[in-house]
Amino acid sequence: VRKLLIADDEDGIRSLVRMTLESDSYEILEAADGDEALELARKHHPDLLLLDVMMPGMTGLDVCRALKGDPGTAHITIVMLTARAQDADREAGQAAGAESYFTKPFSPVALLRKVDEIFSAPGNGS
Amino acid sequence: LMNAGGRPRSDVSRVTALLAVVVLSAFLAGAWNLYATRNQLRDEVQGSNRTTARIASETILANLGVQKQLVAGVAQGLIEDVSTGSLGKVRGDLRLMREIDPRILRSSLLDRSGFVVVTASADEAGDGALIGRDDSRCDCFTAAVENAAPYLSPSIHFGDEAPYLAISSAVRDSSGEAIGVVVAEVPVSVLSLLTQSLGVSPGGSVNVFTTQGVQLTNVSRPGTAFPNYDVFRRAVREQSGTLQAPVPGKSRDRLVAFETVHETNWVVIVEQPASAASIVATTKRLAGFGAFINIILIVGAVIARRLFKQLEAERVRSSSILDSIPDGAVTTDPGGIITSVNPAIESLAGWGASEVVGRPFPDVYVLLGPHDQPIEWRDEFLDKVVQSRVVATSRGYDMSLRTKDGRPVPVSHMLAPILGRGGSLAGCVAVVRDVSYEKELDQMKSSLISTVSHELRTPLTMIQGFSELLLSRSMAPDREREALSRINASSERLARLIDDLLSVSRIESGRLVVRAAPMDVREAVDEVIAPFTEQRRLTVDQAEELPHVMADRDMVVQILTNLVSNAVKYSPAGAPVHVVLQPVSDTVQVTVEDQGLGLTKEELAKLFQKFARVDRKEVREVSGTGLGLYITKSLVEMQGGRIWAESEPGRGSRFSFTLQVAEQEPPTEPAAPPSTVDGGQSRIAIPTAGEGVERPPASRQRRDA
Repeated sequence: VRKLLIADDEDGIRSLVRMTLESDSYEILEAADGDEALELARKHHPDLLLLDVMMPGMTGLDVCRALKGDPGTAHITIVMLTARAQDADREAGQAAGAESYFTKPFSPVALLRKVDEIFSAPGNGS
Repeated sequence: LMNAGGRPRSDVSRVTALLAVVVLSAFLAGAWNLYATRNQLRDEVQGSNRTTARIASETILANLGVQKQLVAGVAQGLIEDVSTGSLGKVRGDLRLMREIDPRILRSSLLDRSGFVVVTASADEAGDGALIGRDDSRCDCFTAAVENAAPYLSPSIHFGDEAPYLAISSAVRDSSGEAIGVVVAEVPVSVLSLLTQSLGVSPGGSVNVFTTQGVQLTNVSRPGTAFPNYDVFRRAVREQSGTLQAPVPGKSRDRLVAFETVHETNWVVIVEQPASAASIVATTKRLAGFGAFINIILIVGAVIARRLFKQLEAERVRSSSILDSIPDGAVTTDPGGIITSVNPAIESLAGWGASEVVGRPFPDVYVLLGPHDQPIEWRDEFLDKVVQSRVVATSRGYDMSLRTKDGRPVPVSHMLAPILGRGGSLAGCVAVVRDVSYEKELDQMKSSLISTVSHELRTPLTMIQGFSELLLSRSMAPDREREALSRINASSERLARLIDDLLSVSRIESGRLVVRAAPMDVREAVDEVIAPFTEQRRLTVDQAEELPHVMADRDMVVQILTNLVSNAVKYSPAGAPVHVVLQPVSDTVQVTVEDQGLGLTKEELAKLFQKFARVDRKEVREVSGTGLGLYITKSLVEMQGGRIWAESEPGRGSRFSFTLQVAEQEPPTEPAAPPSTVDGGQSRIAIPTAGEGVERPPASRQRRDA
């Protein structure tokens, strides 16, 4: 079972991700803001972090930088989840160390495909 | 009397000025005389002589006229002293007359029989001999007694001293009878003084004769009469004229002009040798030419002065225009060398005029691109503006100006050629505008767009996501229900957001119309709280006498709905919400109190701003657009009221707003028929959101209805 952390301040989005991915293969953890995301990531070392950019307090980018800067959590695959489609945001995500990005609004089917893709890629997963 | 003494002098100067004009015009006339015949020359000389004679005559008359007035004035002043026989006072006045006009040699009072009674002169010692002299047969006595006006005797009087002219005026009592005569003796030499000032050309002269041919001027004593001259024969018949004839004392033919002096038998004779005419003409010609040159010089000076003034005014005007415009302005010569800068660019770029004038424009003002890299614009500047003479602008580009201290200031700039006469390039003018504020606005706008798009995408993501899940797989009934309720909530949220955005847009564009009318706030409060009472305990506290307010009822309902629903949303279930209505001066204050989470100082400060949402875990699940309180505040202000909030974390919040009291209670009879369009309401277009709303007094609206 792979652990997957979704960090988004909108509970509707978290619920959508949970409903989409929840299965025998994935265990879903939820964080409602950046601080909570950092806390849960450090504690549970999820295989994948779906990280919303625009969150109150610590933003998704802050969380990403913090995790990637810490050798203990740098291995966590991070997918930035953003409503912003601009290149600048994608670049900022990449600069912060995120592996990939996913823009809102998103299709649950596409999300599922993306997550499966990430885990099946060589060198990923356990 | 005292003023009379000033007159001769001013007359003389007036005459002198007049004469100067005359001479000048005569000289001027000479300039046009280059090919004139001798006759024409003579006529001209004669004309000028004639003018001189007339001026001399007028001068003499004017001077003697002043003295006549003086004598008449003294005579008038002596009436009382003469009738009472106060001779001492009479002497005082006679002395005073001599002091006023020192040209008067002696002044005397004759009694009613013509005997000298009192006299005043420079030599008072000799005066005694004159007392008692019988002057009753002198015309100065007889004519003065006969005439009401002061009298100038035409004859020359010979006393012990210089020959004199006698001016006299009778002293009359109340019945008009002459009780004495004042006589002033003016030396004949006065005439010489008066005519001396009139210059004539060399070889000529100005003299006064009697028509009997006795010379009165420029002689120590008037001598023999020479009546057998043509000029005197004519002077007896004519007032003025010219002739070519000999005159007394000058044997040859002369060019003569004569003018008789009114009220006398004197004649002014101006004469010149006939041969002098051509010399005079030549002189005049030269003088005329000189005058011509002078005139050219004067006109030239006047024109130059005016041009200079215009140029100066132009310079002042153009520099004051440049100095007054709030945008930076730099002018250069055609080579791009700075010629002037205005104060705005001095403060914008930091360089004073003295530091930059004379330096190449692109060297001083360095423009920076979007990433603060210097832009090479020298070539562009030279090519576009200087060579092609087109206007170059930075429109559409993000540019900054590097200031003296190296700081980039966002600017927009425009370079234009200054074209001189005939389209030649006179220089360039650059206008540089500080667009920091505009850039800030731009950033605010894009951040607003990004916020709005985020707010829109979130519910949209849920609607799309959950509906796709429902369509793509079979789910447990409870999960299905959750998905559907998420979709429903999201679409409601989307609808609310769109509504709020439209409200904001209407408020900000001023399209929202306030239909103010007297209304009962309590009634509106009851209507608003009704739907909430099922889930929450809501109480209303109201002052006994609550006046009606002047407001738009729909807007008041919206204001109350926003505040009450906020109070319900942000306080725990079961905590009561309290509404208080109370009159405060000329307003009704509405307060909505909750026992919710409360707000921090920082949160209070941002509360009424657009998209200001409280970011706290406890309230994260509460849905909202972040626009509600911004709209509420705008609506309150449109009613002419104000809104504020008081709160402390954990101790609940109090939102209060005021509404203006209507001046009269609404009518009890049914509302006005629909034919009157507004039916007692007034429509007020709101200029801009947040501004105070001016409304006509309620009483007037009532009358209109």
